[in-house]
Amino acid sequence: MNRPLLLPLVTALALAGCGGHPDGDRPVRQLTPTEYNNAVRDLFGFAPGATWPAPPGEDWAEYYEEDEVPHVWPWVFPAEVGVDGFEGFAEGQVASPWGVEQAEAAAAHFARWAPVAPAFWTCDRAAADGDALPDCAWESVQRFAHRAWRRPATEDELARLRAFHDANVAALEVDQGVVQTVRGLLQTPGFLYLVEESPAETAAGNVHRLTQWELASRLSFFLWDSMPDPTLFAAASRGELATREQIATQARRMLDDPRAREAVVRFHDQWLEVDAVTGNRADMGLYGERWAGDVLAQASTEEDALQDREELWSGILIGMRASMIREAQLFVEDRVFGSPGTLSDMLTSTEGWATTIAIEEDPIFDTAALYGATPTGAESRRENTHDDNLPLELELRRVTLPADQRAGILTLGATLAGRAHPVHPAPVLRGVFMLERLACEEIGQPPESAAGTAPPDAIGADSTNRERVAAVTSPAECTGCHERINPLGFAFENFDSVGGWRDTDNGSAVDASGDLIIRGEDTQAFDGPVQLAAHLASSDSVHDCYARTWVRYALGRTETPGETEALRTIQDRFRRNGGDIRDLLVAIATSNLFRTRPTAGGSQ
Amino acid sequence: MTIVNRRRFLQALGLGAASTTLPFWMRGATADDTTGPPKRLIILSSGHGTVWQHWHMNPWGHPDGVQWQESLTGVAEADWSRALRPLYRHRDRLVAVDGLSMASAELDLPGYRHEKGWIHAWTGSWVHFTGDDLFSTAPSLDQIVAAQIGRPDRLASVELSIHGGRPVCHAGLAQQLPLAEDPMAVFDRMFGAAGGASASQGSVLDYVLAEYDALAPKLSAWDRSRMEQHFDLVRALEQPSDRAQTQLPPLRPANMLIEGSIVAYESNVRTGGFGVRYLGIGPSDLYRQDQVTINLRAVDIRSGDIIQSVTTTKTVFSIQLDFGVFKFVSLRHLLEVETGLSRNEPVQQCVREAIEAGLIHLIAQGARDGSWNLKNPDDLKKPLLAGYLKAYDEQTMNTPITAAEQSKLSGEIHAQ
Repeated sequence: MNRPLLLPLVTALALAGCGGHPDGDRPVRQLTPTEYNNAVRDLFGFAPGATWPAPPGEDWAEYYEEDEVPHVWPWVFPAEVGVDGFEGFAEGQVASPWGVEQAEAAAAHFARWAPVAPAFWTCDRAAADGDALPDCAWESVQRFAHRAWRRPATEDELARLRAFHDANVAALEVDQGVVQTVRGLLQTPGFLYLVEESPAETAAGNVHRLTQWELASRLSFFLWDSMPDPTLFAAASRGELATREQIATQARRMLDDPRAREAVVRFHDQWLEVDAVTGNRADMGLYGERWAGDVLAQASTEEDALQDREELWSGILIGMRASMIREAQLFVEDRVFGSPGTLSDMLTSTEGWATTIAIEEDPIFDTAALYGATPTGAESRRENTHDDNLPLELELRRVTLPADQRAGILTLGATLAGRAHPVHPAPVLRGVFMLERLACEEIGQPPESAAGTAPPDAIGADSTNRERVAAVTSPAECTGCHERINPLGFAFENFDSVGGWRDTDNGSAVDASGDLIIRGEDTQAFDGPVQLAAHLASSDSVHDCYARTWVRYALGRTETPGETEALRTIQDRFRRNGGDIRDLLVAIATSNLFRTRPTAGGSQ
Repeated sequence: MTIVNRRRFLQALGLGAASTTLPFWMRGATADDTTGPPKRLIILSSGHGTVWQHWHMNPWGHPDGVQWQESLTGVAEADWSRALRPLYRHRDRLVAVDGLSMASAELDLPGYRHEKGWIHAWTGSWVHFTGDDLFSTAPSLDQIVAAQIGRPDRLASVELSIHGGRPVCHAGLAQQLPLAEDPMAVFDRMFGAAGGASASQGSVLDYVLAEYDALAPKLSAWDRSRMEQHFDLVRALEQPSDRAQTQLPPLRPANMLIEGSIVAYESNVRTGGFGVRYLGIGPSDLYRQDQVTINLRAVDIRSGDIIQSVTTTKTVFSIQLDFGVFKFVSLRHLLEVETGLSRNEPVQQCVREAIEAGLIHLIAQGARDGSWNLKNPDDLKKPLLAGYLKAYDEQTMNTPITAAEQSKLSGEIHAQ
């Protein structure tokens, strides 16, 4: 009996029956830390990447060096608990004391910029004086509230806001009064939450259409991780988000905006768990010698060789991890926004990125060597990163990866080095990652009996990593899952703990062959990562899984059993259109799932 | 101090069969409590618990599988287990429990033993599934206690972790609290950063609270309860600034400044040899020796006088474990520190040790020379301070002149 397989069933029953929350899994969600910061930036009208001026009454020149820019944005919030590694799910969000304190602190911090924010005043602040100024301030506050809440205010809300604002201006004069008012607005639930109201007259269990304003917010936070822009607001105010065509037009326009690139990449960061690579601690003795022997040899001096080499290897690893994350992000961006823009291309492409890592312009490592990559001569981009006090310069270049070794996201540095132990790569982690993230199969955890099980005594000093893992997972209670997990992990045995290619492991030739077993599909034999990637790229299950993950992310919740049909429609269109990712996003935005909200009961 | 076994513990909680009376250790816990309820609670939760063979103690030779309880008051310190021995002097106020099984967790959903074990242990509640993640259905012990003993002018609770430990703090149903890892963020939270309470914070929060109030009726019951939680937390923000002003005691100026610097740092890696003597390592093992010399000075800020100045050298040995990780050993005993894998640790560890040693040295030296007095002068004879002074005297090959000798000496000088 395969115990972990029971879990999805139990979960499904719980969701269908009395589990979940009483209103049926469609709660309002909070802005994620990223969305909060982006929304504040757009609300104030500062361009992405722009330097913010000093707030009024603060003389930065007194405190900072001439070319020193104080850190003002983004605000760092406690990370969300998350659901399946994703932010933005109501159930993964907690109103914690720390979080609420930070919301207050962030509001106090950002509000200082209101009087100098490009998008705040409705009049010319410099020209306005005397009696005109208070009127202009109130007008500006109203417009700011409208945009912060992403909908028109009700009369009651305006009355409360007026009283609050008037008291602030009376106590603090106009500019600082405005700061105080904005500080309050940034803490209101209308700004912090994506509030979607249930009409009182609709019975529980029905579905109702979102208002135009609610839909505009959903669209912008889905495709931009930020608030709607003026065009989207205008469309909502004119009721032009009513038909599928109208929504599709907006969605396509939004996908052409740079904000969409960041948001789409951010989804893939979470889906591929690229951050896992920050846990890579490859052994210096083995991998330092193999991939950075020359640099490490230069570093050593007779006296204290080990310490210097350790320091340098730490620096290399820090640079390598940061590079691999950026390489993965640029790769994903190219695949989604370039041609052909399909999931299949994301799984098989050999166009990638590699990085030269330097300290004070002195190169210490190049991931191109790790990947066996050939530079294409096309653009390169320079970025700086740092860890504590170690400043690193990264030069990212477009490269072509060896077609017989590498294929798409599966063989990215971040994917491989993110699932590796210091000495040996981790086939089990790699296999579970493939099954869970690409095939949406819930593997769960090892059975109770696996805890503390001593490996069978069949491992010798000359065993390969594959043989060791196979031996440990050979007991009968393990094979139910591991017969599917292990082959997917073994497919990548040619990649060592830092994602470099190897032909042998512990003196024996690497065996990267196996069977791909995905539930509901024919078993397919493969030899090596490239063949496996090709199988996955043509798998319906993988396409369905990718579409489903996007749908859940867009809704900020797991679909209910009643919504399977609607999800199916989106998945079918995705497959029919050859796995076109941008089209998938438009399909989600125009779907009934996205445009409606199941009516919650119990609001009386 | 009592060691209680599992069955009796469950009986005490009313879970075991035939629990008619409380065991003596629980009765005692309230009987001698004359100082009012405790003001603070610190809970430490470590990933895989304690190392059982170092925690467990059984000097009475009770057979396995039998329940027993013993008072440890009369047990010699040397007979205490290694993990508990540092707590020896608190023996009258300790309860050690051993052999518990998280039985309720085993009855919960299959799999996910780590997650559900922690949830059951700290909340005593069943787990709640969302997607692939497990949550608690009730608040954890720390939050329940915080709600009782927390003061409105202080943070009710602070949740910290090292290297993203498993979640152990829960505010309620599916309300897993975030754990702070970044020391800077913790400092800012506890001691205030940008945008601290201003005079008009109250009115801002009043406005915010009114907006939550107005929204609540339009929401579903589940959303409403979440909003109410948010609302309560915003209201809690309002209270500190109102009360803090009346409750903070006046600040007193510091009269003394302690300044210092690292004057030398040497690091060396060797094999075998000298280390074998007390590190218990084989002659082929690598060990590393870090030596830090620091200078500390106590300065009277009113006059600028240097009251005391000490130079201390501290040596820290570390044994190399696998993959270039060093386990640290201080000069005289194994440190009870499990090291992580951070690259800076040999240096940090050694510097910290050196500064601690220097500070103790400075305190001892100053107390002996009469620069300041210890609250209890006899403390100077205690092993910690006496040990440092003795080591110092041995190292410098001199015994400082005592105050009495000094006056005698100056008397002689004057006499000449």
